[in-house]
Order: sequence, then C-alpha cells, then structure tokens
Amino acid sequence: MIVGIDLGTTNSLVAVWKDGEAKLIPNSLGDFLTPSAVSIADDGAVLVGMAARERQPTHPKLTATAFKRFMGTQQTATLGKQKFTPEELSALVLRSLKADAEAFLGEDVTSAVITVPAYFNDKQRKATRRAGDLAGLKVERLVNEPTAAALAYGIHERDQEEPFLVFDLGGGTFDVSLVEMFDGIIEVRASAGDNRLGGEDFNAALVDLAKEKLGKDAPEKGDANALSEVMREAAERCRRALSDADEAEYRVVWQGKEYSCTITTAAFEEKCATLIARLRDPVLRSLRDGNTKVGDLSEIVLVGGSTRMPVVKRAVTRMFGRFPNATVHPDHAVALGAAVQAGLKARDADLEEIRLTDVCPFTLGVDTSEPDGRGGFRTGIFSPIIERNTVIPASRVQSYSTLQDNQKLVEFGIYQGEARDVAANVKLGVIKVPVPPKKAGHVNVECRFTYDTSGLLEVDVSVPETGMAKQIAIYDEEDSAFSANLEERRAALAKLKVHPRDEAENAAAMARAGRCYEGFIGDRRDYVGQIIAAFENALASQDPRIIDPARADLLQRLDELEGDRYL
Amino acid sequence: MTPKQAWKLLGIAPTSDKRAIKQAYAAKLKAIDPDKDPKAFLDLRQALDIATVEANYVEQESYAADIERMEPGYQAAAEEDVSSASFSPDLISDGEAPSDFMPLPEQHSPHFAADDDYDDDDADYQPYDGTDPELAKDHPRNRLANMLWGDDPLTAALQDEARALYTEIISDPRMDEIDYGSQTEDWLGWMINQTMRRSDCILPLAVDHFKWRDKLGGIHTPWYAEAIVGRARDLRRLNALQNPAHHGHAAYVRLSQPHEGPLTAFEKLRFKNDTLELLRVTRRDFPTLEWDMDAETVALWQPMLETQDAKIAATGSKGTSWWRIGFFIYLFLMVIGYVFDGNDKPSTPNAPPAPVILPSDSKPAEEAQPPVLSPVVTAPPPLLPAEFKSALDTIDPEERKKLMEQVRKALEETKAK
Repeated sequence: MIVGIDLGTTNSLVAVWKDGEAKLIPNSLGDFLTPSAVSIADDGAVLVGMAARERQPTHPKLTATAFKRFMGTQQTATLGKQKFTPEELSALVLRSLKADAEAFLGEDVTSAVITVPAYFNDKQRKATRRAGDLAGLKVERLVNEPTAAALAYGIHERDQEEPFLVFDLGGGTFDVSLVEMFDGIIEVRASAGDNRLGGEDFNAALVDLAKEKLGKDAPEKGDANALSEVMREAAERCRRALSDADEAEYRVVWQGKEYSCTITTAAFEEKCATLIARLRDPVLRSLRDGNTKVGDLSEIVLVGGSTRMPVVKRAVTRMFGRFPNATVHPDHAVALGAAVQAGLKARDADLEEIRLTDVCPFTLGVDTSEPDGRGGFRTGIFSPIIERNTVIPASRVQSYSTLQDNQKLVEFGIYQGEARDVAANVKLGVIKVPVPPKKAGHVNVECRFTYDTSGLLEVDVSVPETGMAKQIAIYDEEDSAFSANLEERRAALAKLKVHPRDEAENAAAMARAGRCYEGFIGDRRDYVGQIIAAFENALASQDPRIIDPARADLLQRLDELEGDRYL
Repeated sequence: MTPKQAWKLLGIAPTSDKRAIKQAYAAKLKAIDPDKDPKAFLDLRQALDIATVEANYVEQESYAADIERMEPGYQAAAEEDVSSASFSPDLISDGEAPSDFMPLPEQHSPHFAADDDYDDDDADYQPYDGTDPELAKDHPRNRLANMLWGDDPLTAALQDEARALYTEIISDPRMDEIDYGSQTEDWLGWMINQTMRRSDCILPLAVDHFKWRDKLGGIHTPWYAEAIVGRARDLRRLNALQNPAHHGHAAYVRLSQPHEGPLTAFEKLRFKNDTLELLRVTRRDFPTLEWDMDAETVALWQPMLETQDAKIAATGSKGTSWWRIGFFIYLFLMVIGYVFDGNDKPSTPNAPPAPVILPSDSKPAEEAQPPVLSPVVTAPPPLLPAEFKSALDTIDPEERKKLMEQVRKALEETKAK
C-alpha cells in the first residue's frame, strides 16, 4: 500500500487513495493533523505529535519542533542526552504517521509519496528521502507541495481550461506554482518560492512586537531558550486569535509572573510588512516564467495554514486584484494531493486518465571561467545548463572548451541557483575529466544534465575527441557516509522506546495540563493542579472505563480555561 | 528533431491550432509512463515545444514550401494525415495572399504613448492603461516620458515636476497589483535607462523604491537594473565631487567646464597629476560620470593620459615618485637605527635643564620644571671582575703582596717582549 504524506514544518498528515478518492487518515487522537514535534518523556520514551508539542514550553530541552527548517544541514538537536539529526526527527514523525496508517488500513504500509516544498534544494530533498528510509518507508516519489495541492484541486475541476495559481504559505516555507490543465493533463508551468518564509516568521514578528509593547517589563531573566519557546507559544495563540478579532491579548507567564499586552491587527500588519513584501517576488517570478498575466488566471488557490491569516489574505487580494479561491481546505490539500499521486503511482484504475508533469524550479549548471583580457581569468561564473522551470524529466547538454594550452584536466563544479556568481549558489558536487593536451580552446567537453521526476540529478561529461566519458549521480560525501551506516542508524532509531500508541491521548492530555499549570498563576494554577491530581488518580486505576471520562472532563475544563486547543 | 518529425510524433498534420496540438500531446502522453520511459517523454515534450513554435508560421504561405525544401516528403506526410484539415496552404486565395510589396513599418516617435496602433503584444510598449489616446495624453507616465526625452539636462523646475510625476506614478493604488506593479517597474526601468542624465533626478528614488540594488547578480536580473544601479553609484560620487571640500573637486570643475584653446604649459605642469588621476579613477570605477564632464576638455587631456598610461605599463609607476620611495626608505632606516641605538648602549645623559627665570610670585622652580627623564649615571667599569676580587680578599695580605709582585713581573716581561 502506498500512502501520501505531507511532512510539514508545524503539522504532518497522512492520506491514502482508496475507492476512487483521497482519504485523510486520523491519528490516535482522532485528528488528521499530527504536530511535527518530537519529545522525550520522563521515562525515556519518545513522544510524537500533540503530546510532544504541548511539552515544548514546559520541557524545551527535551522537545524539538520545526526541524524541517534544518533539513539538509548538519545541525543537530540534543534532546536529553541524545543527539538527533533533522532527518532522524522527521523519521520519527513519519514512523508515527505510518503506525496511524497501518492501524487505519489494517495492512502493512511499505512505501510512501512524500511532499517537499517546491523550492527545496537537492540536499533538502535527499535528506527527506533519507528520513523516509529511516522510518522504514520506501519513498516512491517526492512531490512538490504546491503541485500536490494542484492535484487535489485539479482532480475535482477537470474541465478547467485556464491556468490557476497555487499560493502555498506553510509553517516554514512559501511556494507558488502556476498550473495548467487540459484533457486530464495537469501541467505545472512554473514554480518559485522562498525556503525560509512561513508562519514561524510571523510568530517571530509577533514576539518582537510584544517585546516592544512590554518594553522594560518584558521577561528576560532565566533560560533564554525556554523563554523564547514560551514566548513563541504565546505568539502562536495570539496570532490565531488575531485571525478572528481586531485585537488580541498576548499573555505569557514566566517564572511565576504574568506579563500581558494587547496586540492590534494594525500593529501586527505593520510589523509584518517586510514579510508580506517577500511574498511578492516568487509570485512575480512564477508568472513571468510561465508567461502568464494575472488576468489570465482562473483561480488563486490558497494552501497552507498561514494563508488563514487575514494579513496574508489581504495581501493576496491586493496583489491579484481579486479574492482568492477558498474552496480548498488549506491544511488538507497537500496531503490529499500526495494521496492522489500515490494512486497514480500505484496505477489506480480511477486515475487512468490523469497525468501530471512538473518542473524543476531552480536553475542547474556548472562553474566556468573566462579570460579577463589582462592575461588572467575570471573564475566562478555560473553557466546554466537546465534553466529553471524546465519540464521534468529533462536532459540538456552544453559544450565547453579548455582554457589553457596543454590542459590535462577539466573540472566541473555542479551548482544550483540563480546567481551569476557561483559562490552564491548551492554546490552539489564536482566532476573531473581528463582531456588530451592541446592548444587552449581546441578541446571540447560536453556536459549533459539529466534531471528525473523525483529530482535526482545525473551529470554526464564526455570528451568527443577521446571518447572518454564520465558519469556521476550527484551524491555528496555525506550521502555515501550515510548509506554506509543506514542500517546502523535505522537500528538505533528502532531501539528507541516509543510511547505506546493507545496511551497517546492520555499523554497529550497530561502534557497539555502540564503546560496550562505553568501558563497560569494564582487561583487558576491551583485549579489546574487540582484537576491534574484528579486525572492522575483516574490514571492510577488503569481502567479505561474510568480514565476515558476523566480525560474528557479534564480536556473540557482546560478548554474552558484557555480556549479551544488548536492544531 | 525536425519539424516534420515533431508533427509525426504528435500524430497530427501541421496546424496553427495550439489547442489541437495540446490535445494530441495529451493523448500521446497518456500512452507512456514518464517515470519508466523518460526518453519517450523527452521526445514527446520536444515535439510539443517544436510544434508550438511552428504553429505560428504554419499559415504563412511559404511555410510548406520551406519545409519541403529542407525536408523532402513533408507535404506528402501532411496530406497523408487527414485528421486535421486546417492546414491546407493551397486554399489561400490570391487576394488574401501577401503580395511582394511590403510597406515599411511606420516610424514611431519616442512619444509612443499617443500611438494607439502600437503593437499590443509587446508589453513594454504599453505605457498607459485604456485605449483612448486623449485620456492617455494626461496619464502621468506619458507626461513623464515626454519630459524625459530630450538632450539637455533638465532645469531645476522641470526636475521638481518630474519628481512629482514619478511620485504620482508609484503612489497609484494599483501598484500593489502584481501585474500593474511589475509592468510599471519595467517601464520605469526602461525609461530611466533610455533617458539617463535627464532622468537623474528620479533615478536614485526609483533605485531605492524598487530595490534594484538587491536584485543584482542574478542570471535573471532585469537588464536595465545593472545600468541604473551603476548610474546611481556614479551620481553619489558626483554629489561628493561637487562639494568644494572634496579633494577631487577642483579637477572635476576643470574637466566639466569648456576649455579655451589648447592647454598651457603651466596647466600641464600644475594640474597634470590631479586631473589625470580623476580621469583614470572615473573611467575605472564610475564610467558614466564621464558624461557629466566636458567632452572637449577631456579630449585635451586624453593624450597626456595615454602617455602616462603607457609609462605605467612600461615601468610600473608614474615615474615621479622615486624620491618618495627614497624618502620612505630613509625614514625606515632612521626608525630602525633609532630602535637599535636605544637598546644596545645607554644613551648619553640629558643635559641639566637650563635654569628657568621665574617671576617672583610664581611657584618654586622644581614644580614648574617640565618633567625630564632622570639621567642614567653609569659606574666606571671595574678593573677586575667581582669574583676575582672577592677571591683575592680571602688570601692573607702577605701572600697577596707576593702574588701581586709576581703578576707585575710577568706583565713587565710580556711588555718587554
């Protein structure tokens, strides 16, 4: 069985193509959204999802969130005594989603289609693929998130002729795709994005704003890391409240003292102006690359939780001069699209008439040098081979020649990016090829780039004169080191004690109660203490008939105290 | 892949109907699996791309003939397939066929705004919204364009007016709309780039507003951005040069004013280095600044610059600063000499300060004296080493006398020898 997984910055979802439609799979709490958070419980077991996220403010040193932002980097998170790479943390989330899917479907889940932001670079894609491997899932394909959303939307609007635009602002990344449909072909014409723009950045802006408002009274003593987590959690809550009202209270309890201030929509909007301005560039770029005017677009489809913010909605309306389409569920669309792709991959009969083509959203090329006219060379000039927004799979070839007399070797640095100076682009690898010694410029070297549907790049370099040919699939050193100890790492992850699935609800409830206890002071804190004690008593009985109503009661009381829980 | 192969792969006869081409592509695509057979997909995609371009020319009368010439058998292939009848060059009647006579395109004035018959396909050339030429005349863009085209620099009053028009353009509420905004940006970029010097008054404003500086260095950077940002940098330099306190001010004034007759010998001698230096730096780092100089004056200095450049290329220096290098070497040696002097042997004691005659009501002389380094007084070098002396002291006086005698004798003997 192939499932479709939306591995998000804040939340992840799993869906499956079944009986001719895409279905979301609920997790053990009955929610479709599983927070992408990992925490180590007091007994050393690994908690994933809601329980882990609730522990973030209370146990910042044992909890990791938003690790998708560090995918493809060497950065590690230390939870308790153990170090985790972003891939391993993602693998833990994927494993939890896999368990949910298996429980729901009643059969083994062995492979998955995983979504990544369209603007994820090669390294980040590989890291995502490795995370799937570590979780014991065969990654059938990586799909771009806006493309998946377009699939979910397009599958229901098959007759549409004009192109539409998918505007995907998630928790940590921003993507735009221009999509066209005809005769069952869903064709992405152009994609663009910003890897580091999302709801988290709006939270950071809100925290800044709150600090300004609080002025000298802002909490600053104590563990800075824990404080920032507490502030961020409060910002998230405040930001959600701002979606429905013109002003909201920013309230945070730190070291037994309550700090609060009122945030208005106008002030927040002003603070976000720079973030909002950054939305514009990718949109413009995708429209230009797709050779389309706003007037030709049939719809603007909003995807991603952050597009619920009125600030963003207003900006989109202004940008396009019209109201965006709101028929697609912003949180679910990507996962549903991934499920459609999984169905396509499994050659489901219902999807016989659908084909999807995607583009490579960034430019790929090599570094070159040219004579500077004074006897030297200007090095590090980017020479594109596959231009951005080329339909994939794609294969392109360029010819280069030698620079020096009797040159023996030609070395190509392989880069991805849009800057003319290669130093500003992402280096993917190096390939060298020996050439026969001749006068400068008399030896030609052909460099062919082949980019497949999953985003794997292959480079072939050949010297027609000697028939010498070399080929590499782009893997960096980390990759080879990784594949060597893949089994080892998988075993290490498997050894981690996982919190039992059937107790997930209790764990989440306890974590939330714990956070509330620290989040209030005075009478309300005592009250939370009392209801925690009552729930602990119920837990001690180990009888589900007692525990279940007690938990329901606990959650209801917490809802009354701090408003509904959110995902 | 040739056009003929492309049409064949798509399975249709040549057509100008892009919709039909897409349909054919879709039908073919469903038959293949791009994941398993990327080669087939690449070919099909290439066929689509070629056909989409070819479609623009299919209806030209000579299309079939041209292709036939390059690829014999093309017409036969086209006729074989009867699924699409839209391609049939024979059907064009004589009256519709383009004649040999091709009228020259009309000459457009730079004030293209008023030309309502301008080619609509080219977005750059749509300076106003709406098609009413009367309305367009009053559009701030057109008024700005009319003002900027020309030769002489703008007067201060006109500059203010241009700034006002520019502000009006960018404060249009529709600038938030991505299409209108980007089109206006492109238009302004194009306009400013074409009319530099006259557009200098609004250029820095536009650079800041559209953040062109941040967009530099990309392979897709708008073509005008580089030139405009370069000009903005040069204008900052120009502002600095116009300040009389700037070291290059005098040379700039000299170069930007017309010069009567050839350079005098005095001028050549007196102003040579400053002027040539400014010219050289300008050409290297601020190339557009030369527009702001008087071309004829620059031409007067040009031969001298060339000789100097040749000299630099030959000797590696301007040839006039040897004495400076010599001076620096001299200074260097002085410093080194001073350092070693100070460490090796004690300096001579300072002379006692000259007696200061103070007014009677002043403070005692000691306090008024400037602090002087206390003189270093060295003891005369001892005749015998200290250890030797103490060893002598332990010997009793009688024996010491004898020993001294022996030593004296030995010394006298050696002296005599």
